[in-house]
Amino acid sequence: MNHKAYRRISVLASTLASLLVAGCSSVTNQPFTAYVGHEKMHLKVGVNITDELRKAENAKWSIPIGKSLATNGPVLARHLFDDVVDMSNGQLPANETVAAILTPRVAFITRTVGATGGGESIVDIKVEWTLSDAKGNTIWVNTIDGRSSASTRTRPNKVARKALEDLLLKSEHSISSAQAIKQFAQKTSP
Amino acid sequence: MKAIKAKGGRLNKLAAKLVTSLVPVVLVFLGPGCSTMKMTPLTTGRADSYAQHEQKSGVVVGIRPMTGKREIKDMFKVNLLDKGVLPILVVAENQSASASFIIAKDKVSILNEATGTTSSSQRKKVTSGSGEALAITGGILVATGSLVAAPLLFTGMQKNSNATVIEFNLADKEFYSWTLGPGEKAQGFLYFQFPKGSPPSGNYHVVAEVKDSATGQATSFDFPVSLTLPKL
Repeated sequence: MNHKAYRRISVLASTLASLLVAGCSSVTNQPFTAYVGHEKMHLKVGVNITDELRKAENAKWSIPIGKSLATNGPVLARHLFDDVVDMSNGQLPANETVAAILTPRVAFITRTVGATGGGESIVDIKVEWTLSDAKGNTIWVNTIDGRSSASTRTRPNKVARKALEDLLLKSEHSISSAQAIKQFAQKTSP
Repeated sequence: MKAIKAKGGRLNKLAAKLVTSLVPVVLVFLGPGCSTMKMTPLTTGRADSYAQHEQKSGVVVGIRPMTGKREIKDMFKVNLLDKGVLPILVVAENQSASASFIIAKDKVSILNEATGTTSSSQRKKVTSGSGEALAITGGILVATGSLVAAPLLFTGMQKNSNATVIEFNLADKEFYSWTLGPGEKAQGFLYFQFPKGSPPSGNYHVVAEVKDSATGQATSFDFPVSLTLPKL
C-alpha cells in the first residue's frame, strides 16, 4: 500500500478516535475573587473545611473539585462575613469562638459527554452549604448548582473551572440574600 | 516493478473505497441519529395544586408519586421502574410572610406501613457502562485500521453519551436540602428504591420534616400513599 493510502487511513482513524476524547481534567487551585461587591454581614463565622470536602472529586473525569472548594470556601466566606476563622474538620483554633459555622459539602459532580466531539458536554457541581450555630443547630442550608457547558472537544478543566465560578457566584448570592442568615446575624451581633 | 505498482494501485483503490464507503456511515451517525440527548426540564405547579398536599405553619408540601411508565420515560429518558426506582415528586412552598423554613433532604423519607421501615431517597446508577466499552473497542479497532468497526464506535459513543446525560438528569432532578425564605419554593424527586422485578405494593407514607430556622420548631408532614405498581 502506498504512503498516500496509509496517510488517509491514519488521518481518518485519528479523527474518529478524537471523537472519543475524554481527557483528564484538573481545576486550577487559583482562588476565584470576581464576586459582586456588597456589604459584609456582621457575623463571626468559622469556615469548616473537612477531609471529606478536600477528597471530593469526580474520579472518572479526574476533576478534583474538593481541593478547589477547600481553597475557595474561605475566600468566599471572607467576602461575605466581616470576621472569618478557618476551621479544619470541625476544629476551631485554640482560644477562638465563633457565632456560626459554614460547612461546604459536595453533593454531586458529573460531566456529560456529547455523542460526537462537537456535541454538548456539561460539567455540573452541586454543593450543599450549611450554616449552623455554635451548638450545631442548622440555621440555613442550601444546595447550589454550578454548571457550564461546551463542546465535548473543549478541555474539561476549562469547563469545570467555569462551572466552579458559576457555583461560587450563585453561592455568594444565595448566602448574602438568605433572610435566615440575616436574621441570625442581627440577633447575634446587634 | 510493474507488478509492485499494480499491487500498490489495487491497495490504493481499496483504501479509497473504504474511505468513501465510510463517509456516508459517518454522516449518518453524525446526523440526527448521533445527536446528544436533550433533557426535559422539570416544571412544577404550586405545592397546593397537587392532589396530595398539606399546609402547616405557613408551609405547603405537595407530593406526587410518578407511576406512569410513559411520563417517567419522558422525564428521565429511561424507565426507572424497570431499574427498581420509583420517583416521587416533592414540592415545598413557604407561604409565610416572614419566617424561613429548612427542608433537609435526609428529613424526607418513605415509611413502609407494614414493616415500619424507613427509606431515604437513594439515587443509583441506572445505566450500564456498555456504551463506553463499545466505543473504546470500536475506537481501538478503527485506530488499528478496521474501518468497518466505525458503526461500533459511533453506536458506543451515542450510548455512552446517553448514559452520561441520563445519570446527570437523574441527579439534577433529585430533591436536595433547602432553606425556603418567604415566598420561595423548592422541588425535586425522591427516589424510592425497591428490588428489581418486585415493585412495592401496599401502604406507604411519604414523611417530611420542616424546621423553622429561627425557632427550631419542627413540623411534620405525612402523606399516605397506596402503591399498586404493575409487576415487571
